[in-house]
Amino acid sequence: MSATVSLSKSEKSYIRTALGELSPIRADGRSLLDYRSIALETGVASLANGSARVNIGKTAGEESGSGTEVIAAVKLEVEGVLEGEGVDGGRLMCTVSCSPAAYPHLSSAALDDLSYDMTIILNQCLSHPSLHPKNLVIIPKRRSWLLTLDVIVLSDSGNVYDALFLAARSALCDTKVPKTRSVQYQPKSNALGEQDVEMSAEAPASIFSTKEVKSTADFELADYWDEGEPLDINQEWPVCVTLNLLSAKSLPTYFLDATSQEEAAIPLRLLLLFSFSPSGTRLQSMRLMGDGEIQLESMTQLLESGENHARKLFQALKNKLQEEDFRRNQKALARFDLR
Amino acid sequence: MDVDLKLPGQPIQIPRGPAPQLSNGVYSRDGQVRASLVGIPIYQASTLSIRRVRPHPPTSNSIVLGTVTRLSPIQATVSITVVDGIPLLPGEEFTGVIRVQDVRATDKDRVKMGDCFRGGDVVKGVVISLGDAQSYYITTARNDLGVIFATSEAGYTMQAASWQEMRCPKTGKIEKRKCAKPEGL
Amino acid sequence: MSTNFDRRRINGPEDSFSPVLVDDDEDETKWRPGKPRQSRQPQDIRPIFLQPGLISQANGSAYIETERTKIACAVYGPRQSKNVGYIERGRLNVQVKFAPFSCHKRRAPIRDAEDRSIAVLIHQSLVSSVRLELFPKSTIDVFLTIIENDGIDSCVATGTVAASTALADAGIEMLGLVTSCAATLMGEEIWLDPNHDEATAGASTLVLACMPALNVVTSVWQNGTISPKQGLECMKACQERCETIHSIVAQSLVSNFTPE
Repeated sequence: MSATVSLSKSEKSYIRTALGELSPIRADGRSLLDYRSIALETGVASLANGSARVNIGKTAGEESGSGTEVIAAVKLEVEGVLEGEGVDGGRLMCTVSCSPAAYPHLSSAALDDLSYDMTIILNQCLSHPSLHPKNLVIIPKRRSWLLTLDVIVLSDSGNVYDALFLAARSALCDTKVPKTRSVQYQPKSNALGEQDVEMSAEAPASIFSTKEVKSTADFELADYWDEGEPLDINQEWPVCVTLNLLSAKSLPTYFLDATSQEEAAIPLRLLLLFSFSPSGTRLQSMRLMGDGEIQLESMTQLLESGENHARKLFQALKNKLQEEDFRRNQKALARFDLR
Repeated sequence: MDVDLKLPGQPIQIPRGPAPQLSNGVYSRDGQVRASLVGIPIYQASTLSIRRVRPHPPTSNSIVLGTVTRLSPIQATVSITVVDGIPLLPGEEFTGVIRVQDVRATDKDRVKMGDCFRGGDVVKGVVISLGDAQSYYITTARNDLGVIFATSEAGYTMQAASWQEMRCPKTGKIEKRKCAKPEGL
Repeated sequence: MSTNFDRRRINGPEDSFSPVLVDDDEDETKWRPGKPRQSRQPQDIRPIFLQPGLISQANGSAYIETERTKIACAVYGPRQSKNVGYIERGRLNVQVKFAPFSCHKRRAPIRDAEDRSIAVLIHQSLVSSVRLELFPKSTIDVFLTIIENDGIDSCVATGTVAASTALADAGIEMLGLVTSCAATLMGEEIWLDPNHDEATAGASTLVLACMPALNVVTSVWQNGTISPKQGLECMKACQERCETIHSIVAQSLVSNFTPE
């Protein structure tokens, strides 16, 4: 979890002093709690079940290549529960891969380690049972969906964790699980006829009972493949807010959306993942990173302000996702009209 | 159980009077002196320290012992095995370098490396800087520094004859070395 | 298959699977999710056995055992960093290995993601406690072997305690001893130092590492779903318990100390 940019002592102290001033100064002129501009687009990978691209800090008028850029895509695969690796109820797996282009100075081993670390943070948070989607079941105890969320870091100019979770949330919200219908095989009638049976949550009493062959054997896709239902979870997918902590004193000053240079200059970062739903605010993950330390008393205040920032980010993302949804549907309609 | 024994992080009471100088094993944070090693703090003159009993890496002014592993006209490479009197674990040696200008204090430009060290000699030196990525820089430019143990071509332990000669006790042959002045002379 | 179909015989089902063996004995003594905690109170931790200096060839070492979590830790170095440029501060290198027999399922002795994730967390807990500025150009290696595993959270917390004890035993200069404690949210209750079953049944787990002597927190790692208020309560409970663990570590180091 080392900083991805190496800075000299004086550069570090330069950045730290400027940030610690009474009227803090940042290299790009932002105030401590300002984000850089965030660009988001969903549906970028046509072969994925859901996808999103996020860019933080792209300068206006410039082509891609600046800022932190992350692409997330969700693929669904069918898994057998009994014969394969699958688990009843489906699985959710996250992987992060860092492009060597994003970290040109890292060796391939160090790059692997970095990808590993990001994967673990994403995976531990998103594949926790409390966030498990309920509709990953195809046939109870037989077949289930394996949801793989792959995120690629294309370029990193700081605040990569916020970008990762923004992209992950957008891709997961964009995901449509194909509708399936269970298909039953009835050997008694010897007619080899297939009969549609509505998918039901009734599990067969035992898979060993041979008398009652009520269990469904296979499934088929109900509709066209691009139609489906969104993932069904109890809560909302969380958003991440990284609080970059400047000092370990009892009144910690922090700032948001650090650039790579700023990340290298600060001793400690606090990753907070919040999920907001009508039932209340939930903390989904929390993690300290860096070689600094903090007093427990200041955590109260940090959690509180982190929650406020996360709520704003969450709301903005929600609006943007709705907008994206609308834009894509509009586009599809327009294309349909042209034919 | 020793009352004076301190553990890392434990505060150390400083007696009234001038503040002591902090040395190994103690540090000061927010105005409180604390231990950073397990041990008993001791005062020597006005320095407060906890004695290190485990190996630690050389710093400048550390007295080190090492074996000469490689010799070239411009420098001798030394494998440091003892730092400040504490032997390092086998396989955890540090690499040091004696550059030709650091061999002796006088007549520096006429030093011939081959007449000062040979492979396998045990050398006592002082670390002058942390050096570069590979090695620490060591000097032997003092009377009490230099070769302290060497074997002759015949394979016997030699005795120091002068500050730049050693004699083989069996064959009587003289070999050139930059000798350390034996202690207690 | 269908060619040698013999209707005079009793034919088995078309596809068959080996039975899944479930330990389903109605053992009343066994803890199950939803039941109150057995044999200890929610805020109690398991008894700790901690012995520094068991691995004689290492520079410093410690062995820790809390019921079914057993971890051995060895510290080597500081030794000269190889193949890196000049670094002003020392490096702390933490490596974790699971013994192949440490889990229910055999763990093949290859490096996998979980080993590294635990190592990263233990590194995070320790790194601010070691005075790395005193070890230029050097690396301190901390090797942990998990002999028996009873939950990842427990491994991280216990491993941190063992590693910090081993560092103190190795005579490496530190700002303070690091202790760590795990907690899980079971319903509305906070259970400290959960074992594997309890941690998986809980809604959220939290591991906190701190230096009780300096009253600072070095690492927080939380997963699962919890309200911010409960999260703070968890951290407070963990920090309190860390002080108890600190006295255990202190006692073990004091009794192991031999003045020379």
